[in-house]
Amino acid sequence: MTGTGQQRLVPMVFLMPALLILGGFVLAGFAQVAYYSFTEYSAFSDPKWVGISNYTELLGRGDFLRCLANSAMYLLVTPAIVGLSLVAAMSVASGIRGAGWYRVAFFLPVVTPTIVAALAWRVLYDENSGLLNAGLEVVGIGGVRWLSEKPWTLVAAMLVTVWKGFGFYMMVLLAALVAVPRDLKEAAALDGAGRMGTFRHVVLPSIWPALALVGVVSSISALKVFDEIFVTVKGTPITHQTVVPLMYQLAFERGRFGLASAAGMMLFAVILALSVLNLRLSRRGGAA
Amino acid sequence: MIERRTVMASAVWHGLAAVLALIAVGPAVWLVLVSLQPSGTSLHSASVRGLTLENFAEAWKQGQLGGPALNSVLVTSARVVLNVLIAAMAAYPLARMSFRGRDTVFVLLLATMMVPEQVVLVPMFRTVAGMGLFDTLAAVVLPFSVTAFGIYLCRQAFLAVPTELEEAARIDGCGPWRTWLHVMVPLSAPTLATLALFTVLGSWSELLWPLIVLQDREKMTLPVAMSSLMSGAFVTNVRLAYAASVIALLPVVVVFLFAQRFLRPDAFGGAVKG
Amino acid sequence: MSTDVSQDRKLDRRGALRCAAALVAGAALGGGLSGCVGRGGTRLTLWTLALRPWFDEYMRGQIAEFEAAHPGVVVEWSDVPFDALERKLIAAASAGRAPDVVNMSDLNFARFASLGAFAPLDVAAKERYLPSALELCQLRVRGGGERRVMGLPWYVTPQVSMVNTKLLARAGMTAASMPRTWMGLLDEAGRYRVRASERGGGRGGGGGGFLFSQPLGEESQIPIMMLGEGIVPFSENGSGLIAEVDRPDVVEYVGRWVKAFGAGLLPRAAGTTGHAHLLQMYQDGELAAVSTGPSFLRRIKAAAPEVFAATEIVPGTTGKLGRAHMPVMVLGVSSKSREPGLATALAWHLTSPASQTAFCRLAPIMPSSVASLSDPFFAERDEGGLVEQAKLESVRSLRTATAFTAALDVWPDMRRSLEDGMKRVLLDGADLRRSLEAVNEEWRGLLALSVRSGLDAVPRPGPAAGLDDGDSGRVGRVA
Repeated sequence: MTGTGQQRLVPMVFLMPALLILGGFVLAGFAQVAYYSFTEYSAFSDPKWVGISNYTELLGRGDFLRCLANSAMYLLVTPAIVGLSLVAAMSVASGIRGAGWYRVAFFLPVVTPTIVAALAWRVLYDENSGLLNAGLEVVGIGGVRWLSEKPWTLVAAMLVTVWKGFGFYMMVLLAALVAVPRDLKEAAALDGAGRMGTFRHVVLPSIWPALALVGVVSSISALKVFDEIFVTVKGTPITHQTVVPLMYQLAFERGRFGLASAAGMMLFAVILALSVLNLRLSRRGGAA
Repeated sequence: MIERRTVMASAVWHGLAAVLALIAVGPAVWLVLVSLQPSGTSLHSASVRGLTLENFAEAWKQGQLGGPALNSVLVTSARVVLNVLIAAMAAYPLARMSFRGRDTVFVLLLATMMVPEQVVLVPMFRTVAGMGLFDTLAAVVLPFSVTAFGIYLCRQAFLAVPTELEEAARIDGCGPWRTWLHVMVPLSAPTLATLALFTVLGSWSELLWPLIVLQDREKMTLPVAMSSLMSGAFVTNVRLAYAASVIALLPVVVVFLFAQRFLRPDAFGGAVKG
Repeated sequence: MSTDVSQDRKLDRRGALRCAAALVAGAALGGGLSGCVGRGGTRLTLWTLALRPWFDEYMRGQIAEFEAAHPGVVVEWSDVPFDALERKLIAAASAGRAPDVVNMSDLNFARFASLGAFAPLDVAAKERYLPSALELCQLRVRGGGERRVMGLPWYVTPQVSMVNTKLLARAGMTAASMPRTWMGLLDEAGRYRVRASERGGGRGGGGGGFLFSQPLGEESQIPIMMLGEGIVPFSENGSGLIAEVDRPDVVEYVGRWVKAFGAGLLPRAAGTTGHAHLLQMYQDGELAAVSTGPSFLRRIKAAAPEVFAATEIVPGTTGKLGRAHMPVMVLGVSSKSREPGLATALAWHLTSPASQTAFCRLAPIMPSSVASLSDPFFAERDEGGLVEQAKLESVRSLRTATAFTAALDVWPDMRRSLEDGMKRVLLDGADLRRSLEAVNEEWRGLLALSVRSGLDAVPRPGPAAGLDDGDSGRVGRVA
């Protein structure tokens, strides 16, 4: 289809609703956040321009730096998610009976609303009478202070994130596994490659883009996590929490919307960097 | 796709899958169990004595969950329709047409996925209020009636459609709309169904945005009503809170069970090709 | 071919038109769904905290009365769940949609006032309300020297204590023999644990649970109890308040709680969970005594009938001053309200003696208006029933109860700073003295940013006299 008039009109028409909505709401909102990050704003009085002092203040704040460190630690969910979802996908793809049922079971946490999941886990984590500690005691390890002690509160939230997410990513990896060309696998088998060999040299490179996708998307989610921390381990001091709960506290409890916006912008920068990483990773290492 | 495996390999996979499935399903089952226990039981016991449905009836009645449930259905349905429609529309030029600025537009759209939600909600609320949509269900639906993730999915699916089919349609005299409607959309049906499912999942239990936008109690969606109950009527009767949670969970599970036939592996189309 | 091309163009245009139409329709629908915008007449918006659905009728009645007295005014009432208020208020304010009258707890009130959320009220409040309740509504604003009335106190809930007589009996105690002060309870807690586990039974935490608990970390009650003990973590000089939370007597007081927590005399939840754990544990039969507002009695009756049957009401636990703490609900008028006069009138109406008395008949709350208390409803009566007992006890304690909330704009931040410090000590094992010194540093920083205040902003009543004595402490007749 040639003709300059058509050329621009048709794509625009198709894109218009999406552009209007995403541009008008999300992007415009983001632009405002960028603006607020240079102001001191409490929502009850007009924003006051303060230049980059929000950013400098954040970088000097103990609680922000601690939350950054915790966010970095939270990224550890990514290998867990990638690993678990790969195992789950492989088990479903392996052709065992009842794979369909397993698939449903794995997806159930994804379907569970976060508030509900957080509630359920909170009861399980209860230090005195929760099932988790009861189980640990049976095995001989003493109970863990899931809801109150320093590294464990973060781990508790991370477990919920992994639990909630792995079914979703399993579906992505399942699609990739299923798409591995059969003949390649058979050729490898004929060449005498064992199961491990086939896996390493045929399957893995094939699903590499999918693995990278899962890795990066789950990392981005890990950085944006809020509900698991806000609900499941509610009550822990801010030094146990991550950046988004801190942003929330700054914006809605301390009335420092400008500061929260600056934190949001810094988070966005990190996420952007991670996404660029995804692009590089998925281009490299893919055999297909 | 069934490959022959040795018995032991099968057993290993079965074992792993079973353990994972148990972990996956455990908390939800626990929740259901607690909701079924009669009200005297301690919250931490696993007893199955005297299971009853009365907690659900109580939660429904006391929490007056009927209206909010209906509102949630309305909002979610609207979102699903809009999301699929708008994303499928937007994906077409991004996948198949070339025009100036196409890649910039795509990147801009993707950037919206990286925006942290908590702070951007307040400016979005200002926009919505400025449009005169304060305290309306439309305001709940509209800003999320399309997502970059949906566009990404659809684009990947469209990219996987063989160009020959499009050529054929063109030769038959179809313009862009007809091609879109009769070729691209039907061939990406699994992906669109997946997108619909994900939209349902994301929309049904959404709490923060409706909480901020809505004021009128008649317009509350289910999660908002439940949050109000959690800190209000049900704060000491946690069992009712759990029962209400199960009620909130049920429709989504049903939808999922129904829709999961569409979740065939190829639903993710070219997404896995990077 | 050409016809097809023009057909395509038509389709494109039609498609574009369809899109546009859909969007316009959507916006119109949205506008239509926004309900009746006030057709003629003034609109006031009112937000309350967690009152629906039980008090629907009452509120509607009050609103109807107000509207009748002010023809042409329509009040739109909206109820907000507890934890949603901050979010909604800030979002609404930033969009210019702050409610005209907003109900808030005393904890949040000063903070939002310092953010500029409320307008000072020019009303004759002094004679109308309980002095202690009104004190915390009087704040200094920036740029103004005097403390001004920034909100009106609404209903109050003086704390009473509930005890589980069965659990007490297991430890050889009775309701009458229970200590009445926090320090007394701490002393008794150890003995309780020993005796209860000797007699066996009980799960969770070992041996019949705990004697009592108080939130020490999250929603920490330590500032309140400290003030109730007569320990004031401030002093004053010419230029205002000075923070002294690391003073030896403060450290010593807090230290006793920390020691009890470390010795396992209090549940671990006392460090991480707020009030919620008190009620849950009492319900589960793991706490022998709990100090709270009487409204929870009704819920325990429904949720744990055996515990309810074994429960007795005793006067609320106090500090050395003998005064129970009294949370206060406040009504504020938005600083951005377009009808400040009317909004003030609405708040005035809701807090009137008649309104409050009617409210108290429906809920286990107490009025903040002095005149209400002369209503025969509040007079002593000799009827049975636990709920009735609780009400009578509330009335009795109202005479000496104090709202131990400082009228400082940075008080919530100070409390949060202390909470974080307490969590570090209780959960991370930090050294108490050093933590309190760090907290004091933070307090000093907060005071530097805050509006200049004096010791008069901090509740420092004298010890409660007997009921016959009448006049003691800084508050007037009702103390």
